[in-house]
Amino acid sequence: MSSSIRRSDNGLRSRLAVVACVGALLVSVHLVLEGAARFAERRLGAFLWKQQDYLRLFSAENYVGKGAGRLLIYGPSESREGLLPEEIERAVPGFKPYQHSQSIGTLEDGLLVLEYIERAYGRSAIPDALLLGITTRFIGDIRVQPSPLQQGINLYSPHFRVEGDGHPPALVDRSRFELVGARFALLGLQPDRYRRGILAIAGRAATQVVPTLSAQRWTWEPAVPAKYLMGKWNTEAATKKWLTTPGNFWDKVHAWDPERDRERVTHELRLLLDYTARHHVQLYVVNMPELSWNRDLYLPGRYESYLSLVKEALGTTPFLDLRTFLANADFWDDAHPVWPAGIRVSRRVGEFIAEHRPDRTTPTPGRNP
Amino acid sequence: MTDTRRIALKLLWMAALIGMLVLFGQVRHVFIYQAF
Amino acid sequence: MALNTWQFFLLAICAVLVIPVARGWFRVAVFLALNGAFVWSYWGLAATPVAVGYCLTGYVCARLARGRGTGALVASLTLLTAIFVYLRGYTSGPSVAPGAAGLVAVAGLSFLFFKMIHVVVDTASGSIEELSLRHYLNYCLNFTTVLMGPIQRYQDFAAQWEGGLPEAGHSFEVHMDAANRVLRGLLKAFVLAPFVAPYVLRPGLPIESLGGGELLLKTYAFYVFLYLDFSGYCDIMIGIACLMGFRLPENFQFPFLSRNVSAYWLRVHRSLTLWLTDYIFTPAYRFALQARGLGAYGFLALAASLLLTMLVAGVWHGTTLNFVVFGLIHGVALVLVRGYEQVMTRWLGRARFRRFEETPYVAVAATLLTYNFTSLAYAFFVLDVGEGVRLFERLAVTAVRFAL
Repeated sequence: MSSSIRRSDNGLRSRLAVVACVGALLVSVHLVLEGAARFAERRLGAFLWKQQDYLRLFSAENYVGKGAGRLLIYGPSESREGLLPEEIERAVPGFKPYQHSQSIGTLEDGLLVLEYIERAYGRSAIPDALLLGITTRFIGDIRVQPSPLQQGINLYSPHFRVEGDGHPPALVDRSRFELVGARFALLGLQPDRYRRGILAIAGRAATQVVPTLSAQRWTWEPAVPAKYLMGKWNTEAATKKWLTTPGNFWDKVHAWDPERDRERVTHELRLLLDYTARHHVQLYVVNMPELSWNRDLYLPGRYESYLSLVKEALGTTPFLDLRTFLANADFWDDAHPVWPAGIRVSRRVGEFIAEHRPDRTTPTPGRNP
Repeated sequence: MTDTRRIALKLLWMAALIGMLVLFGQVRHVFIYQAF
Repeated sequence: MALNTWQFFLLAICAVLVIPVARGWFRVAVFLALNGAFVWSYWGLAATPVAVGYCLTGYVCARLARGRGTGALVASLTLLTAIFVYLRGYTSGPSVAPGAAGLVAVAGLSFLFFKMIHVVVDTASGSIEELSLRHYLNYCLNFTTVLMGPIQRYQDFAAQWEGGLPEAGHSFEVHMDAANRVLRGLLKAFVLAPFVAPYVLRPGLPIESLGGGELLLKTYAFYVFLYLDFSGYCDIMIGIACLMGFRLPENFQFPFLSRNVSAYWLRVHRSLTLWLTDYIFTPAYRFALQARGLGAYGFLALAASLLLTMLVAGVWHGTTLNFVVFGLIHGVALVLVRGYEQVMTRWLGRARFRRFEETPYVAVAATLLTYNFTSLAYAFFVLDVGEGVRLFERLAVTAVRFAL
């Protein structure tokens, strides 16, 4: 722009131009960063929502057209650390494991996720197989705070909101007005995803240039869901104390009576089986490992009641009980395995899936163990 | 430096500032929980 | 409304697009409405009427002080100061009024107070010829200066409001520079400052269990944090004001390059320094020079005036004793700098002294010394007196050990 452009008396046009420039640049920057994030998710298979893992549900590129060959892994955070996609993929070639476990998630949340994927993204998003990593808290729907997934859907979902007290609650279509608000709210959360997207691309580029860098954690860790825990969260005494601290979820878990909850648990598992049968999804269920200190705290008969209830409801679905698979030294804290233990669990689960996987030419739901 | 070039560079600088703000700015948003 | 929210963004866009084109009473009303919305978001239901009432008190005092002699001026200043002390809730002196401190929290009260003192004094002296209520209210509540300055003068505000900036101030490039300045300010305040924040000195720090080196780094970091936060805010507001067609006074000019404490105060919060010079230092120095005893020794008069000025600066910044200490430390440093300049000028002569100061190693040493001094003085901005003393003891012990 040269000095030949006329200036207005009060500069309104130039102010408007500047405001327009800022607005246009803001949109452009978002588009570029969104492009980088999508590139990382689509081409590099990166996972960009490390802290608020349910947010991935709102990005279509994670689901549309990705169902074929996908083994969706769902469960609570124990399942995120214990069911490592890369290890399972090695044991079951042909499956593309996608870690979808969620911190403090429950079976109710899992049913919502499956319904969400189906309704928002269509048939092509429904996975070929589902690996469910369960715990007593997961099946018992035991919480000390509202479901982050449900809160997140209500705040940020561009598709639905959660309504009602059902098990699971209903997913209701959003109005146009709500949609705009949710999109803006979700936009406000994108910077975290953009940063990880850039890190994922930078990490991959660095390993292309210097292959030995692939051993460095910073090149791959930002773009994976697991935290790959090492060492110990705290001492044995502190962990035992945490397991018995009144008010946290553990005392609810240890005192949970599955028989009283039979109707709800059976209903939810039946919904799950209906879903997998309807969409020809292979289902595999793994009971995740636990600390022996934790096992000792359940009220007599409760854990056995939980196991028998789940197995009864699941029928002939392949079921693997890994409750005693790990030693106490294999845990980082009260529930999550350390990385080497996660590898062992994943390999065992991979073998289990390979044993029970139906013939690929005639896909059928799960069969007898 | 011509006017056009100077303004273009300033626009580029503006884009860089906006990019840094979008990526690293302390935007207020709702953190529903600290994941674990 | 915080400066990084969409609400403030909308308010600023409104101001930038409407104020320059509006005219007459509509312009005044729109600006007042925008200022009102901004201060309401900070002051809330309880404090807004109190703060606006205080502003109006200042207006009445200024009108009454005009042409009525020194007595009326002193009474006005005393009244405004008393109300300020009451509202601020000072705890470093005798208890003024129990419960005052929690009554109303008025962000920017200190800046309002200084603006009003300036208006009252200048109106009384005739320097402000015409004081109009509509200009005065917008001047006091101007959202670009109300929270943390810069401390603009009323005459400057009124002249710009009536006359506006010359046409060169309306070009696309000027506005783009202003927008870039706003973005730079946002970067400093909301990216860089939060990045440094975890590493700074904080009250309640376990001073005894931290190493001297770590404590020193935290002290340095606090100065950097304060600069990023405050200068970032100033950049945002000065940029927005420029987009509106106003030029606010600059507050910062590369403070880390200051070669002595005197230069430092002209590079940091400059508008405050100029205010203190005009309304505290100059009158005090004039008075001291005429006073018996003190007036005979020019340097003593200067020292007393500097100490008084910096004491006021310290007390203005905060309500507790540590701010008094902060002010006194700077006062003493200013006296020493002046003394050093006088001695060196007498010894080397003015021209040689200037050349000596410009030599590279002297300039670097002076800059480093000033940086260290100002960083350490800032410890009393954030720690109480006891913690501050313990910090210095720890640093001194570490320095001695290092030297040995």
